[in-house]
Amino acid sequence: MDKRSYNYIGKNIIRCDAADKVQGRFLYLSDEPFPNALVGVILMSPHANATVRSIDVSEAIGIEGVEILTYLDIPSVKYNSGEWFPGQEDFPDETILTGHARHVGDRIALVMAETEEKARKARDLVRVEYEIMPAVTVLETAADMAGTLHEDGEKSFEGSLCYGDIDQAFSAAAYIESDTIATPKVHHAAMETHSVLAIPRPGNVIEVRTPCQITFGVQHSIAQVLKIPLSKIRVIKANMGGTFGGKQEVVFEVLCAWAANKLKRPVFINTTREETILSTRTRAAVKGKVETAVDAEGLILGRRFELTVDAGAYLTGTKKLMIAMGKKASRLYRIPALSYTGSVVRTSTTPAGACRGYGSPQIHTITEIHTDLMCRRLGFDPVGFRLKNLLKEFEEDLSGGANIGKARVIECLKRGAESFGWEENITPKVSRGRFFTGIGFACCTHGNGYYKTKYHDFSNMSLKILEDGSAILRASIHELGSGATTALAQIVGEVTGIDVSKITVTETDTQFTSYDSGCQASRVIYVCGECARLVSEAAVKMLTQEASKLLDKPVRFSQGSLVCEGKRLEIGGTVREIMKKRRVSIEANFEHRPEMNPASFGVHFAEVTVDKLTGLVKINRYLAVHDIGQAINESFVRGQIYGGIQMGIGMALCEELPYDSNGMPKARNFDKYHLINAPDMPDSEIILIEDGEPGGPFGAKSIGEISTVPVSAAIVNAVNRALGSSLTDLPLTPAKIVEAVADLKK
Amino acid sequence: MKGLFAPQSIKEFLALLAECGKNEKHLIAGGTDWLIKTRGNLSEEAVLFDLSKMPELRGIENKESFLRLGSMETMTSIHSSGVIRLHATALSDAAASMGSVQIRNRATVGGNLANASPAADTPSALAVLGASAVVFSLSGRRVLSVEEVLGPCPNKNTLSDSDIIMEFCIPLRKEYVSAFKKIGSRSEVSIARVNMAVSARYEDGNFSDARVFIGTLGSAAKRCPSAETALSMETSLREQSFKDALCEFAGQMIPGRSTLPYKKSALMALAEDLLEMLEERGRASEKSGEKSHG
Repeated sequence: MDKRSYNYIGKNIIRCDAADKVQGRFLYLSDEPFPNALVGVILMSPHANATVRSIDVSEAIGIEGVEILTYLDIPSVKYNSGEWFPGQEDFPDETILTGHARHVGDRIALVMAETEEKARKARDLVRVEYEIMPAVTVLETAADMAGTLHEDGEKSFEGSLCYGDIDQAFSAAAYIESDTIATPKVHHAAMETHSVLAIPRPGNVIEVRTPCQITFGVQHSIAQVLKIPLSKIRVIKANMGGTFGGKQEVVFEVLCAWAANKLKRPVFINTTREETILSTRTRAAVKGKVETAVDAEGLILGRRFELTVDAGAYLTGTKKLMIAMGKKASRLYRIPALSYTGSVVRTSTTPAGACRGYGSPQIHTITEIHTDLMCRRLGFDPVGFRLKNLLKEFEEDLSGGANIGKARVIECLKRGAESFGWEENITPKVSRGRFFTGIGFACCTHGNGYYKTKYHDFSNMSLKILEDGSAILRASIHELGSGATTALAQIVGEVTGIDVSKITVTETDTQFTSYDSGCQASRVIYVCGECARLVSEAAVKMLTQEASKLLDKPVRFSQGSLVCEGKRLEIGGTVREIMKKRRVSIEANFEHRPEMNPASFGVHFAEVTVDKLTGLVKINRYLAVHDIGQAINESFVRGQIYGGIQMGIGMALCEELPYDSNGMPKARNFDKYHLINAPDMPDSEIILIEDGEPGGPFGAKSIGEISTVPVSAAIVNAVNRALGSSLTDLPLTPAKIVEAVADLKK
Repeated sequence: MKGLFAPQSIKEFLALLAECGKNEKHLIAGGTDWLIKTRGNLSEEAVLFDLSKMPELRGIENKESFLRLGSMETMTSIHSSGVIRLHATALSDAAASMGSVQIRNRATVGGNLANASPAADTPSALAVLGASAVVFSLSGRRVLSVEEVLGPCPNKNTLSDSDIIMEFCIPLRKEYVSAFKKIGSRSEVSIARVNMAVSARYEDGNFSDARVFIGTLGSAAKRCPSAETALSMETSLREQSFKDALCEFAGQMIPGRSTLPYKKSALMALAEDLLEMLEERGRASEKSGEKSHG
């Protein structure tokens, strides 16, 4: 199909929930009190590593209507909040409540009452005595101190990946360059804090409403701990006020379901911002060394990584994340030999987990800062060096991952460098003695699902064309705010010719929608979107076949219409006649199992001015170039990129969750945790390269996660170029920049 | 909560105050700090006074020898006032840089001083302008300097719970220029890591009779006499001496604190920026012949 003739693809259709959202009618879980529900607040540990010596709930429980469940009441089952399917064997080290608090914010008890206010008052009356143990806050010594934090005897969780002859690569190298780089622990900062509602239903069913990313994963976790069949757990994805991976793992769902089941009453757990920061999940901090072997012409011969990942208090999905980081290392540049060793250690800090990019921002920040510093030290042009080594279209991933697909990263870099004026602006400028201006860029890649990884990836949907010509796509979608349901409606509309305003796309409800691997791994547009396209084609095929039988004449589908002997048939009327006369409803089902998992690419450019006295960095100009195959809805794509830039700047310059040596968090709320706000956002230019990716709906591929991946490295590279510095410990806070400038003078 | 009063005049306020005796009193100006502090958790005994209905606490007026500034004037009304911009420029700078638009629309100059946060923006500007606070209580009226209101302890003023700041008097000093600037974590909606206000007499490129107040060094407004002396030096020595004096002062105020190296560097940046602002303002006022900046 000619792109220019699309009705909906690439068009800026207004998202279906827009009017409700701007008028405050779009309600989130905490906006609607559930009848007869107990509101639960969690009694959280004020200590980083401490066992409970005694807990006295007598005064609190004396208040009428208050219910309290503590770590003494829980099932002893340990689970891993990052495991989303039975048998994934993520190491289980977490319980729903605990008598051994492993971070400030760990869950000791659940205090419930008919109002949140009352529950909070009762919580303040619970007396807990702790036996305080040393906090584990330093990555380097965490493995040795593991025994004080966990009784399971595991010091660390190792993983490695290796291909090619790495020793040969390093011995043949003209140059060997290495850097040690650290990326910070970051809060997701979704506008909606964490909450969950669980309702006991007839038939021993526990209904759980949660703004989550993987309903079938939530169902699995609950089944594991409560020891009840999956069929007795109904997980409904609630309206989502933002997640960025923070709501990908189960955090309070299991506890809430257990409490509701035990008390036979609906239980709603709500949290404040501070509680969400302290007791949910964070981006995992990563620290380590990357070393590259290069020949005399600047071709990469091999690369070694030795990285340590900070899991926080529980392992969660961070081992998966550590492996994912390694697997992403071979999908950007042609690296003939690679050795990756990762070690995950647990510390007495808020647990880490998924966060937009799932390790991609960490690994690409590390390699892209390193690549720039290496080029500077060796005298290579950073653009030329990358052009020489970047992957070309349909190259194989040498680590054995899926083929790279229709890679357009070289085009991204070339077009970006030209549009940004890279050559003309390469020389740093100084003004008024203290303002240093410089430019930087970074390349990156990210995936499109799980195909050819150890995780299964498929989606099952049905499309029902109704008797008035409207349609329902029954799909297990998790709308996270990105516009996924509207984008899928656009795909259905494009295939069926049905007006987008007449198409409803469902979100996931484990009782009524079919299996889907969840909103993770940047798979939604590439896998679910393609499933929506294929099920739409199946429905159209069924419709034409049934219409042919009905009319006993050949009916075909052309340019969005049913056509019979040159005459256009109205869809609704035709479906009505088929239903009445043939007693057949038009509902097609399709299970899509992707056979490709190509790479998306992005190259970002930044121009910054650093004030060497205040250490503040102003971003003057920003350009994001993305290889996205095809935008389904261009304004959604742009929205994702703007947001990705905002998050990435934060990780580069100001966002971090630091702890003191006693494991006390130094940032518990937005007074101390600084995000980039609107006045400091640069005007960002966006270039989309849309060459159509095979296997994606109308050629589309992912953008949501990748849009934040190259940002931090682009900013850091610009700062380092402006100052002539080699800063590698993120975020580059004003104090660190001032210190670096002082060191440069020496 | 025991009661909420919105007195219509100082007289009524004082009468209500007398009635409420020893009960816990909350005097609410703009409420932007109070809301965050209390989060709706009030004791049974708490009595709330809404200060927004008293006309005596309002107004910005040029009284020839001084400016009268009602304590309930908001950051927005202050930074949009031409009179303030002309005669109390540092205060105008401070009000404009505080919080967000929404906060500036509510937050008051009296509340900003009474809250006594070391990172507050307007106290150092008021102090540098030589402003005095007119305080009312059951025992009568008294006049205090900004430093006297702030006292020695951060986050706690020296006023009693039945004192009310009614207004500020800012002396009009001809041929003086002033400026305020802060450095936070962001360019806007940011709490100051360090801030500074400077005023001085300006003539032909030279400064004299300077006043320098720094915020965030343990208090909202600390005077720095050595920096004042440095400002009066000849132009070739001025900037460096000014910076040296500020850095030395910071070292004395927060010795050994981990933030000290950064604060010193930021003070040097403020020194450069404020000197530039003062010179520019001095030249502009000489040019226009309007010499009543404060």
